[in-house]
Amino acid sequence: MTPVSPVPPISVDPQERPRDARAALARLETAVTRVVHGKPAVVRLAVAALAARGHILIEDVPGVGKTTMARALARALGGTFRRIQFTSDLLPSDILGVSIFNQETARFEFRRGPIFANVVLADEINRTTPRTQSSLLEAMSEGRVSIDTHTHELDQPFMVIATQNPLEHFGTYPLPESQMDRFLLRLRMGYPSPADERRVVTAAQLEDPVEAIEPVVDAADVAAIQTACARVRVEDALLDYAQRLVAATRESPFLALGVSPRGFQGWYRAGKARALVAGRDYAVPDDFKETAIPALAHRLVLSGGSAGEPLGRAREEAERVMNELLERIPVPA
Amino acid sequence: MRFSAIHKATSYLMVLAAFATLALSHELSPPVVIGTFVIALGSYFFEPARHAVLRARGWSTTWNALTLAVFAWTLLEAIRGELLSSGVRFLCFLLVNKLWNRKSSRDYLQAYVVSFLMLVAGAALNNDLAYAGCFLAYVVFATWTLTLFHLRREMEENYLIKHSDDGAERVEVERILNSRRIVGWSFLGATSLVSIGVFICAALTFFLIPRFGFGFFATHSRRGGLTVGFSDRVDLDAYGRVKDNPQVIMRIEFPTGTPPEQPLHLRGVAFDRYEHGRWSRTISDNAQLRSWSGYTFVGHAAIERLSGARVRALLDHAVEQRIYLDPLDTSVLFGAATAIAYQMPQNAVGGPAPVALVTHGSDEPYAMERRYSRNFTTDLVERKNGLRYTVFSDLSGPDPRTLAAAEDVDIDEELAPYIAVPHDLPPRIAELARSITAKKSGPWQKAEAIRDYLQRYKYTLDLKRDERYEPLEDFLFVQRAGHCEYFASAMAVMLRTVGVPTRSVNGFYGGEWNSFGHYLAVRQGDAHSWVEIYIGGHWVTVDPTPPGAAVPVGGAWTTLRQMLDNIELAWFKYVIEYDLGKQVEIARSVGRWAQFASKRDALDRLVRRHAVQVGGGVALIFGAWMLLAAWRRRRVPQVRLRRGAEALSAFHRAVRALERRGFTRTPGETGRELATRVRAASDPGADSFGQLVDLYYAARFGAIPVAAGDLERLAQEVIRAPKLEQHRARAA
Repeated sequence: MTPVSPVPPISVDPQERPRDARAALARLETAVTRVVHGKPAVVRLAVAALAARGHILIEDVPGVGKTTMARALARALGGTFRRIQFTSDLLPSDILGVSIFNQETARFEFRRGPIFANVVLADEINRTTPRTQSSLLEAMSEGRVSIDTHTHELDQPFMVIATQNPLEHFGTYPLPESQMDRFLLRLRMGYPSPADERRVVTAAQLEDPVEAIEPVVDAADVAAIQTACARVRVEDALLDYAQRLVAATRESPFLALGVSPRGFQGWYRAGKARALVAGRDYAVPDDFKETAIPALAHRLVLSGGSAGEPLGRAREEAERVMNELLERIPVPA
Repeated sequence: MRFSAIHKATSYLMVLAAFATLALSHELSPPVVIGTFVIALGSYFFEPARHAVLRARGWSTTWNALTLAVFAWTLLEAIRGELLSSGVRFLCFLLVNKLWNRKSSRDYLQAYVVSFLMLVAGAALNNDLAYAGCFLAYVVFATWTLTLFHLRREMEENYLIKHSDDGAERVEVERILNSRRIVGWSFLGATSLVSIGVFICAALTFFLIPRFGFGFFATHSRRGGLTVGFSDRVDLDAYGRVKDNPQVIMRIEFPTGTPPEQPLHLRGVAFDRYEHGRWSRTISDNAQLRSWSGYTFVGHAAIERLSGARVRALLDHAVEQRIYLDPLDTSVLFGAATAIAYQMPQNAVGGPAPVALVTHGSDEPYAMERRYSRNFTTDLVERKNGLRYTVFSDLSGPDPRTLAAAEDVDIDEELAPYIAVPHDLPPRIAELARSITAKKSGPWQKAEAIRDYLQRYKYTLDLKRDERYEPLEDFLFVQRAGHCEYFASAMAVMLRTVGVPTRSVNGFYGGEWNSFGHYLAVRQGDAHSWVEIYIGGHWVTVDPTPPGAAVPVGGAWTTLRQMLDNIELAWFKYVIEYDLGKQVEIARSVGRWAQFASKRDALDRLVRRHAVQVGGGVALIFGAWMLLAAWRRRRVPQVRLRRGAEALSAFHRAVRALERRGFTRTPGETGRELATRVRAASDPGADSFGQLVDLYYAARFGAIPVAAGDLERLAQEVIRAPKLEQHRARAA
């Protein structure tokens, strides 16, 4: 008699189960909103930037919750979080890492810098020298770091949340336009509403609320989100609309430099990401309209020169021009 | 069945249908047909995905080398003049090549292209009814195949190009290809209904589009194999069993629609010179042909003075035969003896007719093909095509009293060849003739005597031959049995020895009346030989062969054969040689039917007479409708769906309604922003408009099907919503 071997049980690899990108995004958004009070639109755009594999630049005064949001996002992602305070004496190696000679093994060992994290908060990025700035920005766009002869891949997901103070003028190195282009979105936190502000003030307890956030997604979820984002449907009429607006920025008399193809591409990705965050797998005109200023305004160069003006003034002017174009260019309907 | 298996099966069916048109055309030799079929079918059981040898580099290299070799060979053959047949063989090779190299959907596509070329080539080479069947099959199979092929390519290529960095998608494609749920019998059934519908529409177009006549573009539109049976030579020096040949080669319609009272002698070629069992034609001065308003007159009518009245009298007296002649290895025109006039197909656009009538010596005209050569000259060549023409014949002949009273004629120079006998003719033949006609005077009495004498001989197709004797001597004195050519030859030669001018004639005799199509079908087996005797200035037909030679075939088999033959004639008449005249004919008969049907009593009579058929037809249509309805009900909720731009209308009407209420949409304002603004103003239509925008967005930008009813309802709610002031007033 031949012994019958037992049939092995069918194993299901948890990594293989289909990921619901929209549900994962919703969990992420809820988790961050729980600690960043009264800023649903900003949180939503930050999550959208993650879905679109983009980085964000937050321009605002200190103390409005920039760090809290970045940390909350990192916690909810279940990834690592590093904060880099940019000062005028910061060096590229302070960000990227450094090779140290190990006397025991008699060889150089690479010590990874703070950029090797899933979410990196680059605080007051305009306070450091252009050299250090560019080392960060290069890592952001390439997704990897080259030191000496070695190339080190950055962790995935990788997202940089940079901040800068728009009011201070002295002792800052404003980011050049080419570097601004590397940020998918530029956001403004703004002061919370009086009611929310009271809630923020009174909610402060012994325990840090950010530390209480449990990871709600894993790396596979993020990958699914980013794949789903790339697949969001964009109707031709919408793309025509976007293209007309981009063309209008290049022809506007108020602008010395319009949106570049890279800027257009960024807007396109941001629009799709916002559609996904809104729970749709297709983009609607509102997705593009709402992301137009965060995705495009920081890439514009005003005519008439704003070199001597504080950052905030230039930004207001750029946003005014954008708003005027958004009103004028017909939306598909 | 799995998706990929169905796709493969339908692909092979489609290719097979195209190949069948060629295989049935006799253009390809049987080894090529069988070889192609077997090798092509063999590839069905080998999948490049499963059999590594098909993926090997050497495999495709071998095929490429083979292709080059075959191509070179084809080129050589083409230069030698066999353009069409070598091209067709090359197509067969290409098909086999592609079927053995089915790596990607591109290879499938190329196989389809080859199959289409085969279908086109088949159209030129194959004008059998079988082509129609193959064509219909091809239409159905091609619809299946191309639909599935499109689906498959969309999945394989588009999907992979869009998300090529995603390994999971490939797994997904495999899963879909192996799915059994994508296409089933309902898909195949529905698509074949669609393709048959398309086929019917195409057929309607074919019958309704005005067209130029036979031979406008090419003088040789039809080509068929040469047939055997009738021959424009007579050679009695053969023996063995002559096989009956049932192939129908001529179909004759009469205006009366009834069969002729007497079996017809359909005259073909006449011979004047006899020599040791062989008849040949030596007279070469052309007889007269005379054209008169579309008719070509021969014989006496060609020489006499013609007037309108005379032509009418001649034609009224004559029996009209509309003849559909299949390709034969002769260009001679057949017609019941004695033919007076011919009407040939005309070129509808006024150019020269595609065939030209010429005579070769005797009375019989030959329809030669006009072939246009490159230097703009016209050559008359032997006709290789079938032909449709009309003959008017005088069947009455001279009356018996005139015949009996006729005297022996003086032999002038013109008649001399018809009285000549070879000098080495055995003398006992002439002696026999003299002894038979000893007491007879005048050519008719002599002929009757010899005909009666020959009735004692036996008709047989089982020929024996004694080589020591001259063929006629052998027939008359030794075998005493033979077929019609022996009887005709013996009579003609014997009459010549007693001074009566004769000639031997080959043609067809009788034929079978097809009661379905009301025409006379003449088969190869009806080929016959008889004698014409010159009496009193006329050539008179005399048939010495004993009657009852033909064995009638009856019963169900005959019925079936007649039906098939009728369909074949209809195929020739209404498809192959369909032209403006036929179009008018069909339109007229439809018109007559409509007129007939419009008369109430006539319709009543029709219904009463055909109550069973009509009732059955109505029941059938009703049943089909019920089935269709049941099938449609089975398909869950029947909602008219709207996608994309179709949803625009409802949205625009709602926007215009809002405009009238003071919410003018600015160019840069999106639907959602407008909805927010309307809501902020707490307009009573705001809720409906908000929902409408959601639906509209989904349909317009998400390509998601949306129920048309919902769109319409929401738009109406926005339009009908009370104005804000009224709303407030009512609330207050």
